[in-house]
Amino acid sequence: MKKVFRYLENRLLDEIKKIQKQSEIDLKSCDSELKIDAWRVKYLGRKSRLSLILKDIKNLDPAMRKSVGLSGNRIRNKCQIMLEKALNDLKLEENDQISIEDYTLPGRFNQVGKLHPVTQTLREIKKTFVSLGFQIAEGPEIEWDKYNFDMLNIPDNHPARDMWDTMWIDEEKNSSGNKMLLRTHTSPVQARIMENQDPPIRVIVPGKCYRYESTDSTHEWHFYQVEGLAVDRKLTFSDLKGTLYEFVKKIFGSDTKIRFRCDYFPFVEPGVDMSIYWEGKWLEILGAGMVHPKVFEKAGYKDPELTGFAFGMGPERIAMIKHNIDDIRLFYSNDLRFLGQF
Amino acid sequence: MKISVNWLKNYVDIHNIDDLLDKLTLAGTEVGSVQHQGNWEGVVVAEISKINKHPNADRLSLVEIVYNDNLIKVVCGANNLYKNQKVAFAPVGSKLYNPKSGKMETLKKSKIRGEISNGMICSALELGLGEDHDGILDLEGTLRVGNDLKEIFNDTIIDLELTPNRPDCLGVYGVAREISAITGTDLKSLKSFSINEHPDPKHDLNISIKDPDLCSRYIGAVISGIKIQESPKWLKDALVSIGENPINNIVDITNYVMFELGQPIHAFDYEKVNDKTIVVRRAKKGEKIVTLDGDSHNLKEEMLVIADSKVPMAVAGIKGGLESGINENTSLIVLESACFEGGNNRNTASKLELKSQATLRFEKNLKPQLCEVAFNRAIHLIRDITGGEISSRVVDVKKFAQNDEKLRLHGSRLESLLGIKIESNQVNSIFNGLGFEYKHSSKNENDVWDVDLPYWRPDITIQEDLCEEIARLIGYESIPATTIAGAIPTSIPNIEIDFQEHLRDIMVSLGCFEVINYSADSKENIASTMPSFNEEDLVKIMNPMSRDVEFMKPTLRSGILKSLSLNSRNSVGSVRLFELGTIFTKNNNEELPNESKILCCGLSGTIEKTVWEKERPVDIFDLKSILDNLFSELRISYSISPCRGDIFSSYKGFQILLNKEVIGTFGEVSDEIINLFDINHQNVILLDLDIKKILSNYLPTSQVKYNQISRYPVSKRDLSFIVEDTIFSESIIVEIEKFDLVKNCKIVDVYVGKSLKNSEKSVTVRITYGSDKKTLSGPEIDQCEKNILESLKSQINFSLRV
Repeated sequence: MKKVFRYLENRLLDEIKKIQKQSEIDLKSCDSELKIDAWRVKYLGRKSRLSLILKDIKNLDPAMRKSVGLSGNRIRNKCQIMLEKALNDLKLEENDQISIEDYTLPGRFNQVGKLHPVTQTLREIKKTFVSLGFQIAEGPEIEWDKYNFDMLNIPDNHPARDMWDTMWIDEEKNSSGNKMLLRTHTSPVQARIMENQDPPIRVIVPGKCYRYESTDSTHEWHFYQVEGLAVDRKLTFSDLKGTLYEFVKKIFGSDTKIRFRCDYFPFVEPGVDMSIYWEGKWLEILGAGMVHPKVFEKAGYKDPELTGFAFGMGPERIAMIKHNIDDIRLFYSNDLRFLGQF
Repeated sequence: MKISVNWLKNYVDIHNIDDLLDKLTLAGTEVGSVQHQGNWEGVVVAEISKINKHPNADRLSLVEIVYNDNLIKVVCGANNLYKNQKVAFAPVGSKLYNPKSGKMETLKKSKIRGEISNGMICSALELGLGEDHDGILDLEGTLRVGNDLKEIFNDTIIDLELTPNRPDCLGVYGVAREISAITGTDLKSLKSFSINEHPDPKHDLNISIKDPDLCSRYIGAVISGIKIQESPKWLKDALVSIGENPINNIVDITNYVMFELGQPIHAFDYEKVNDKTIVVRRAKKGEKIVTLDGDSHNLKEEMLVIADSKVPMAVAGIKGGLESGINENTSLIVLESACFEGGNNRNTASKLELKSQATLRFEKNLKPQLCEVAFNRAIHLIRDITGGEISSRVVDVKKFAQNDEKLRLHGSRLESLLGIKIESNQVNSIFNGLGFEYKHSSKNENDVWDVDLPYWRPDITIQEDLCEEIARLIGYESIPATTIAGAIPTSIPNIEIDFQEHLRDIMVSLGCFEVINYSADSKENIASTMPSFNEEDLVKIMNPMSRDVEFMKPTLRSGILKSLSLNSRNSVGSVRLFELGTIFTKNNNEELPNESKILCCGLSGTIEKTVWEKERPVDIFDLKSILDNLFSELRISYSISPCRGDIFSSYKGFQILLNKEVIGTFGEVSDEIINLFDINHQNVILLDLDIKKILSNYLPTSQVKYNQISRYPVSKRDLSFIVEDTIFSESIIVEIEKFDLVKNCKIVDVYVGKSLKNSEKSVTVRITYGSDKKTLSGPEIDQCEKNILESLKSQINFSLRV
């Protein structure tokens, strides 16, 4: 009996081997989806010889089941792989010289875009100040001169107005004598917030600003600014310094050398210009100061113990310093060869 | 403002200049640039003895130079050479600074067009003495030949970038005072005439101020015995050092005093003053004046003039008139030193386009006390230099409150503002250094300073200004950095800003690059990309940078198209861009324009061939994939409907609907627009979404409630419908998904071809059946499928493909 079984076993295993060989030969002549499908039916279909052999295993002597099953399933899997490969090869007709087993080939096309470097820098700035308890606010890009200038202690005909070359909107003054302009800084939002909200306040205001300024490698008429404002009792110049130092360390690294020097902005007193020491030079990165009492007065804040600080910076400038960008115009030319680098 | 260090040294001792400049910058007077004269070695004064033409070059000369018994031949290209001219000569072996390399370079013998040149005759630029490179430096004829040039040019010129609050530093003496305060060096006093010396009034002079709101003080006096001539060398040198041209002794003195003290003063020809009367008044209707530069100006009634009894003689504090000006025959002058209101002065100067050195100072609201100081200083110099004497009353008309202006500084405020306690003796010494008069008192450990407002510092008006003085002079670096104490303000939710950032992230994850375009565009670009937009609703900029950016954009389309255009020309393959920005439309009723946020996305070009995929043009379905993913991420379902016109090709433009409301558009951009924007790609797909409308339907992840996951398996079955090719596949899906047991339904294939009629297509859908309550049996699914088909039959004509 054993001999008969052995014979049957060998015969089945031989047949499986033959099926394997034949399947390989047959597949080579399959040059269309239709032929491949026919091949599939022949070798992997429910009524294929291989399927029948595997189906019949249960009727075999238990001693034979293992070897026949193993070998049959192995071939079945192999056919399955051959089928997939054949279908793929068919798709890649034009590339039939490339072997699919070359895993150094690039992955399938699936592109990820990038945020504009200004957006990325703005996010970094926002993240830093949010971690210091600041909130984010926005305001209109077209403003009344009242908010852009008067409320910030920059009266009409004041020489300080030369610090902001303004683009005006072609509209008549309104009945209260206010004129529309493209905001020259995001500071008017500061005035709007104080008008509507009582202290304590800690807010930063990112947004677009506009100045009537000829464009060159360091000037754009259209740019972003982040304004910051904190108002409370007992806020000091030291706190301003601490807050901005923290900001610089987060953005430029904790060992960055920082310098505060006296500067003038009509809406602060004392006024500050902050520079960082970068590649052998002091570079100005922001203006700041303690909120001018006139600004509180115009906002309707009457508490004499109130103090506050404000600051303003340009994200383009910060990005330029960090990334070694030598021309501000690159930001708004939207060349992917530039945008793709960040 | 340019300042000569030699000039400064008249008032304050200066030792370490580099250290000083750093300190000035830190204390608020920023040093823009520094120019040290004498950045050379071995350059001497020489005289030209002979000039011959260069035999081989028309523009060059062969020049013979004499100094210290040397006769040297050089080649020179300048055209301002003359015999016996004194020039700055750099012989072979001398060293000159090369601004290009930033190094000192030794001059070598050279051959220019075949002729040997043994040195160089220098221009001002080559010596770092000025910008002039047109000709060689023409030295004063009295200089001694053979002298080292360093003995003549040894000044340092610093260029200060002044802030508008410090008109005192628009005078050299003011800068000296600042240096004195910073370094603790004494400030020397100025030699001055005392107004108390009453002269003998030979000449009449009447002065009246008609408009005291614009002129708070006017001092005038007649000076006789003047001979108009060239100024002495020291005076001319001082003016030249800061880039001013010397004119004559009187004009030079008035300029000198202005640059010294920051107070503009003016001299009229006394003989030309009608009725010897000066009236400070607003101009009358129709009045005109010809100013010193020869220009005629029509004056407006709000402009302040200095008139005599008949006509305006000067635009007050801006520019003198030609008629009343002094000339070489003048022997009697009226010297004016006055105080004008800044805003009006600035306004007038800008309306007349006469931005003068005087306006630069007066617009900053100088104090009336300063004009007396300047007047006395000028009289001193006039007497000293011209020998002239006051020969009238000194008329001093005062229209300002003359009580002593005092400012109180509380020590407690100083501490609460700066965050550190500053010792009272330190405050005292800072005030002393600044030259401020004050009284310090201390009650119950509360320090108080009563400070007399300094006349040279109109910027100091409140006690916080004094705090700044103290802070900047102890040095900002000596104030510690601390963390904000106190409660964190209540948080205001900022859904809109968060939403925008979320959208940006989604777009990037979908393969789009963010661009940021200008907020303004030309009317033409706006009109072509927003055909339906009403031109009257455009927001116009009165003074745009150019016509190309004259109108605030009511759409982001034109910007995206420009960015596609640029990149289509630069990069091969396909481009995917988006912009999230503000659009502007006019508002009526005296309101600011409407500003709203738009998301605009543009695709163009050809997806390049890869190992895995064939080359194909970008099409609407690339955009739909972005749209599907975007809305799926936002948990919003949308539908589309065709739209006509707009900027899209026929039948290839669509509206995006959310609950029947239009929230945006997308489609394939027409060839006309592609050509207009010069896009180098054949296919341009554009999407436009109104963010606010989406936001109101958006469910942020933070508000999502968990749905129980079904424990029962699902079954998938395919159905192929043969329908008219005008039927939208979506309509089949919508019907099928209405059934409860259908978890979802997806289109897996659309087929048009041989086995079908021309007007037919086959749509294969894969339906996923399932229930949250049990495993569905075969017959249950069969029944559901039957129901689906029945329901569809009533909606759509189809047959099943088997």
